[in-house]
Amino acid sequence: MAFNVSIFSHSKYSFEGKREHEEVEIFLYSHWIIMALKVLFYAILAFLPLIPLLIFAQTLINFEVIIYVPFFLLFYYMMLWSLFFYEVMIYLLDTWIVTNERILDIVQKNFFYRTVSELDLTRVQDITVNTGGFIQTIFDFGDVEIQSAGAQNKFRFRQVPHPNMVKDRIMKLVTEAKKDIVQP
Amino acid sequence: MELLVSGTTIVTIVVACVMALYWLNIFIILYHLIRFGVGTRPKQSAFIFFAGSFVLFLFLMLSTLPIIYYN
Repeated sequence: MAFNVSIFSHSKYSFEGKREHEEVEIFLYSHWIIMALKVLFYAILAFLPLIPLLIFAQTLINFEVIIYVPFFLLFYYMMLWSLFFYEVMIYLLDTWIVTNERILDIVQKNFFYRTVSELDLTRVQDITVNTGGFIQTIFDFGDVEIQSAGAQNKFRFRQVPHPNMVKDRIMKLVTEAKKDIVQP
Repeated sequence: MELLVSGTTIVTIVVACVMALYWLNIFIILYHLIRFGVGTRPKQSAFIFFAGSFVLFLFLMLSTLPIIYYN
């Protein structure tokens, strides 16, 4: 039995609760620009301690405390690295999965707060795309709202790339799913 | 008795506790990325995160050598 354990090769999207004959049609994260803004923020924080260090370098040498600087600097970078990857974790675990049978909205709010919502494709009533503002228009990302038949709240895909293409694809899947019910 | 309350001992214990919390945090992030991540991207991120954390921790430990030597 051969199996591929490489994390650098492409693999099919497998998730907890995936059914045997279920195929993932759409898999979405938020648009990359959301993460890019956070990267920029953390990059600024990373350069921030270097400014006073350069300004007060001579003073630190004179008072013979320069040997403590690498320790505190590295400690600061360790904490920053952890905080940054906490943001990366939240970004990567906030996903929307559309299969040939259902829609899954997975929200990771913090370490120990995770919500998984599911909607059968046959219960989809209508889909709305909201793209607001200059940045969203230029980079083609926005919200996709899915209204279901019933008292359930709307499903909202937040700040996803190519929302109109996503909407069209989901509508096509919904049509196919409803056709299967009428003509099994 | 004197050894238990020395400044160096207290600082060492505090640093050890902070490092333990740091590695606990690393473990929790890695666990979430590997357990709940879908596709290869979360796993790649987990690898990069662990490698970076380990390297930073190693450099931090090395940076304590001049402090210990000087004191």
